[in-house]
Amino acid sequence: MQIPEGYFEEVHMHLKKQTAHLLNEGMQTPEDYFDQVQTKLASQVESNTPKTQWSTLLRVAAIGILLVSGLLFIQSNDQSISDQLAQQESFENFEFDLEDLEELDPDLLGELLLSESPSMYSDDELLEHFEYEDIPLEDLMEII
Amino acid sequence: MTDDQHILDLLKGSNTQNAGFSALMHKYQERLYWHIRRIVLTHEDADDVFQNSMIKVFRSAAKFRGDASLYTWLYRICTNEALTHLKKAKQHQAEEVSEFVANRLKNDPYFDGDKVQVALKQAVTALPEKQMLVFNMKYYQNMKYEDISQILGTSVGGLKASYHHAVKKIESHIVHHHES
Repeated sequence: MQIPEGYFEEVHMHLKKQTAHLLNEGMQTPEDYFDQVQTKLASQVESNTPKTQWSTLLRVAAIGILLVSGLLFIQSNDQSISDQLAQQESFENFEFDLEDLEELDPDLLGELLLSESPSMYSDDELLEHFEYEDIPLEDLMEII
Repeated sequence: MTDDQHILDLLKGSNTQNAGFSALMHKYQERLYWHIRRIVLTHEDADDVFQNSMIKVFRSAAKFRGDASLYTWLYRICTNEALTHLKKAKQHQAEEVSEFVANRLKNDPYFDGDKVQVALKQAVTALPEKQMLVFNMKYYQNMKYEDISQILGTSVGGLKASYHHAVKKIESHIVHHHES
């Protein structure tokens, strides 16, 4: 006696379908649900994979931009601090020079102010005043 | 059947992830779906929870350290997702558990069980969380206590006691339902 090939598998599948309703206590799924959900999820994860790589790249790029901005900011801060220090130093030196230059000609002093600390005495009116008016040194000291 | 370790290896490889996911779905999707469905009851909710769980599995597979078996890990993820979903659903309903279950099943186009089956679902859903899970896994899926123990992190003795209590409560509920 012989049986067809795959007979038991076929019977098993048939019985499984017939009894699924009983085993699942009245709960069913839409027809071909498992095939459909497998296809749906497979396409979701496939489309997610390159997105994930892109998002990783974007994240890395954003972090890089932040780091570079941070470094530039620190550098510009350092530069402005060193500029301020240099400015302050030149101003202090200038004050020191004034003490020794009581007989300094006001016109020369005006030029000195221009060259030593242009950012602090850049007011046009004041410079004109220094250059073209004969201001006594004492008055000038008060102004400063 | 594809070996679990082979599926994991495929899932962890950047070029073989999709193949690994297909193999995993092919092997486990029906078991996991029904496990979820018995907790959340309706097909619509089970479908949502199942898909979310599978996407979570796919995304975190690379980080899976292999402390537990793949089978245990999958069941844990699905169980947690399903319980969280059920809790949220219950929070939005002021009705009693039995009424909540009856309404959900009545509105599910993929449920055509009779009154006894509805009563059974009401009894199971009214059980404390752990008893419900043990009952579902043992009664419907015929899982070994050792496997359930790995998934739920409870001793085998504790699980046997929980199952015993669950069966007694369900029997009592069904008898009471039949008499009334």
